[in-house]
Amino acid sequence: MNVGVRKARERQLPVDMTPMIDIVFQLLIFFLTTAQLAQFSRAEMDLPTEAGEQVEDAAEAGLIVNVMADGSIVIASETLDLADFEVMATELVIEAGDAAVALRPLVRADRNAPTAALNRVLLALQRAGVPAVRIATAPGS
Amino acid sequence: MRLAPRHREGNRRVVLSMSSMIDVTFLLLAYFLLTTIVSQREDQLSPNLAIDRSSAGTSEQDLEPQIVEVALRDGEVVWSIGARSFSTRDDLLAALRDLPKGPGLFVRVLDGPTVAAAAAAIQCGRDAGFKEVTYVPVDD
Repeated sequence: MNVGVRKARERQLPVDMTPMIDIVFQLLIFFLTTAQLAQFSRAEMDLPTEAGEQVEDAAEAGLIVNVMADGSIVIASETLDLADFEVMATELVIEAGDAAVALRPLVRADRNAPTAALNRVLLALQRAGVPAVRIATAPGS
Repeated sequence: MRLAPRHREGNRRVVLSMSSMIDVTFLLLAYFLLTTIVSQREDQLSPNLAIDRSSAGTSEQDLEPQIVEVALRDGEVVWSIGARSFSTRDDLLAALRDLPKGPGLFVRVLDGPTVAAAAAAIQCGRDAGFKEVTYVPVDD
């Protein structure tokens, strides 16, 4: 009889999976929420079809300005007039302080939008003291 | 004193219930597959808005920057460098490649064309090798 060996083989090491599953669900909820927030700040539009630049560091945009095909300015699903946008841009620069030189707001402009609208947005950012912007493109061709 | 043979310890089996973890893994996989297909990839162009005067006094700064003007003439987009006008972006790119790169490139977009024409001018500047491309917003 080989009773000792059989008993050793039937031994089970109890591993509690509950904490791991909890963490996995927490991660799932986090990614779902952040994906929804990212879509919230980016309006649906046809971006200019350009290859763009090979940026070494994709820093966070901070401010995402959407310029729609009709020329309206949309930030976080809210339509702003130019005066409000200028106030927002000025506050952004004041809040940034010394780091304002590194500000690179992301401007998402519809490819069919008039350049007059883009000029107004960039002029407001320039007057506020923003040194450079990033213009979003859709790589396609 | 060790009585049990060494090989018996090696025969111990650890039984784990993997079904929950596999369920969650498949859920995550399905979620990321769906969101990757739905979300559109974006790139970016990074034009300056202000003139960089940090290196003023160098020989490069003695030269005037090249200026590309984007306008609409007879319903067609026209890119101009000085007196030369181009109706296709390939012609614009070829002309920009021949210009000195040191002083940088200014893109001045008049009211009239679409954003696509302005983005094309910036892209051509980058493709031609200009490190400094500055967007000059025209005040209407």
